[in-house]
Amino acid sequence: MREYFSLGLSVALLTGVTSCEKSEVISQNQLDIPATYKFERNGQTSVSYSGQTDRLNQLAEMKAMLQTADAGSIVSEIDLLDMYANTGGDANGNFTFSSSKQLKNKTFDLDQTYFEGMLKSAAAASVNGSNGVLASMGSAGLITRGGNNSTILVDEKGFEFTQVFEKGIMGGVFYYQIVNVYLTDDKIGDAVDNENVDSVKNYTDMEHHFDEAFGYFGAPVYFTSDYQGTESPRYWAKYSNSTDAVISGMNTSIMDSYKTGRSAIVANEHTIKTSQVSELNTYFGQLAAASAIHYANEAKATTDQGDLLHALSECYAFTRALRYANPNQRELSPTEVETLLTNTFNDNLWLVKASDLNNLIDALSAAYGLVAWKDIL
Amino acid sequence: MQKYLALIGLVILASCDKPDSNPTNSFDRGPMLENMGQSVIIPSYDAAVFAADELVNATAAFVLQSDSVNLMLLQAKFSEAYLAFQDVSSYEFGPAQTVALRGNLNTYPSDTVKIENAIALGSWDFDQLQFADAKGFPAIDVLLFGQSTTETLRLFHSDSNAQTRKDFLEDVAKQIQSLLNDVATSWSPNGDNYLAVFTNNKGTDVGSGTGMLVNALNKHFERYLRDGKIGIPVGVRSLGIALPEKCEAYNSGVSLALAVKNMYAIERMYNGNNLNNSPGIGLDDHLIGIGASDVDNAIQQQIAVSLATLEGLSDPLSENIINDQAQVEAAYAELQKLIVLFKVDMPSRLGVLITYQDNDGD
Repeated sequence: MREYFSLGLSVALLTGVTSCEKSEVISQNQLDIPATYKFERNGQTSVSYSGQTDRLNQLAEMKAMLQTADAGSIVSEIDLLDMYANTGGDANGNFTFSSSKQLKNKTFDLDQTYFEGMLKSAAAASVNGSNGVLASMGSAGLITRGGNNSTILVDEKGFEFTQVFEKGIMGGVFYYQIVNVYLTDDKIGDAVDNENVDSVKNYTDMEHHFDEAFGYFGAPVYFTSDYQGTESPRYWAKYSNSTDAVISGMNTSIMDSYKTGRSAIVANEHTIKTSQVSELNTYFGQLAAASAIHYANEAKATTDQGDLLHALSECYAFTRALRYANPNQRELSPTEVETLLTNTFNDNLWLVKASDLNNLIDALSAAYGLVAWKDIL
Repeated sequence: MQKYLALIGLVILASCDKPDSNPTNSFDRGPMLENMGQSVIIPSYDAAVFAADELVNATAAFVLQSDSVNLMLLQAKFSEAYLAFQDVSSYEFGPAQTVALRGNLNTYPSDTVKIENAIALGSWDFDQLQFADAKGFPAIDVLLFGQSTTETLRLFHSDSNAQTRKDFLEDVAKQIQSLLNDVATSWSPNGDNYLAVFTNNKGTDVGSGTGMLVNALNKHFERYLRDGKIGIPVGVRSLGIALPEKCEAYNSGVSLALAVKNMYAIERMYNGNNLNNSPGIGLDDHLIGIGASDVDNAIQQQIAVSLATLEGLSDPLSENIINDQAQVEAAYAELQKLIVLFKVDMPSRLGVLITYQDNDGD
């Protein structure tokens, strides 16, 4: 698994043929690239992304609360909003841990209201759920999922709160922060300090910013395509891992770019760093698109209405996440993403047709170089 | 899971090695795919279309004259068409995947409230996925068998919504016919000739004919036969609490007949046998051809045991579940034993990657 895949950019991959060539960038071979995302200086780690891990954990606890509403309990709007903004350092007691970090102020500015509105709606709908109201077009409520014999809470248009929020934050915070904040010139450009090493923290600013971009990926440091570790990949890394089962090499490609980019920063090889950032932008777009296609196929395949709304909610949220791509390196603009969303979902999951999903699959696979996998994702 | 992940590595390594090192290259998959496409899949779709035509004709006759004779004829044609569908439902790739055939025709149980609301409102759009559980064969099962014959005749004859109910029934039957026809036409060399796409892609990679066949077989067997037809009704997903009303064809009570028919279809899908069960080149021959007779033997034996166990049950399956849940659980256990053979042993020997994923459960 040492092959280097350049997904989408590579003609070989576009035609479905696996490239077996080793990396050919000579100067890149001269870098000291570690086997795992492990970097040290003077025998001590120089990697830190605890703030990102805190936010990943916050999202997990928010999801857990939303899932109690899926099971028919009432959830409080105040609690959910406190968690989103991490009021008081532990969401007024709603988080199991304290942290100075929060999800809200790292959310793409224009979408903070969107996510708050979603949480308010979830709280309101949970009252329906607790009264046993069944979901139907025009009415929020619970619907059973035959696939795993549980219930989910959906809004009056069929959107599953848990999914559109969780995947929404994966887009609006994690993906947005990776490609629009930490992997940009403001944070890792040549003008950013890469000389002064903080004596306590043991890293340069540039190194740290790149590590923060890695922290939002959600991967164990030893994540690879043949991943058999005990530590579960989370969020984007989790979906990379499932995509990897179809598009072999996905995990390793992303990890290689992260490790090579970080090594390039250590070696002050900024051309290589820039090329890795470009690769990462490509991979994350493909990952979101591949996940959206997967759930579109799932929605078409299911014979259960609860599973259908679940798959459509996931499909919607992953498609919507594409709006957070970096403007300098994107396949679709936010306006184009919005048009796709409207054409496919028309803001009501109850009305979606198989042909709408086919159109979405065709559009996304063409834009992101995934045509060879569009039917099997 | 370990074996599954190891397989990914194996496939990638194999693709980097000299072609001769791959044992699966010693079997010519072309004739197998041609047999599957020409002699198994296309004739099965043609037969399903024929049965759907008969269903539509019988529906038209019943709508014209809603009496007990026409109802009985229609009920018989419904069962025949539903049985014929069991021969094609496992081929959910290519044209069938495009139109989401299985979900459109066989999402069950039907939502009877949704059906009655649609009839009361006189409004439905069967293209919308939300109508998946209010149409297809399960909806006809409800409309024709969901009440006593007398009540069925009253609903279609003298009820105030009788005409709308007739329109609804006709639309359901016509969509079954039209989607099956779409898929059959797409496969046909006289139509879109998907047959050529299927047979020309002779490799074992993810988009190949063999890859799609093996994945479709597994996904259907695991999710729609084992779980849908047997496991979910008998309670394997609900703490052992039986859910007999989740049986396929719950109202007409032919659940087991459909399940057995579907299991025979899986057997023929594996063996490459046509509708008359005449032998052809199939996955069994592929396994034997590459020296994996042990896997083939194990599969043949377990299919036989599964069929025998299923045929030892009785219709209505829902009542069998209520009266002797353990017996149906035992049948599920036999089906379960096929999973490792179909999903791990066969694909790893064939060099085929299983790409579909279990429900994520989150």
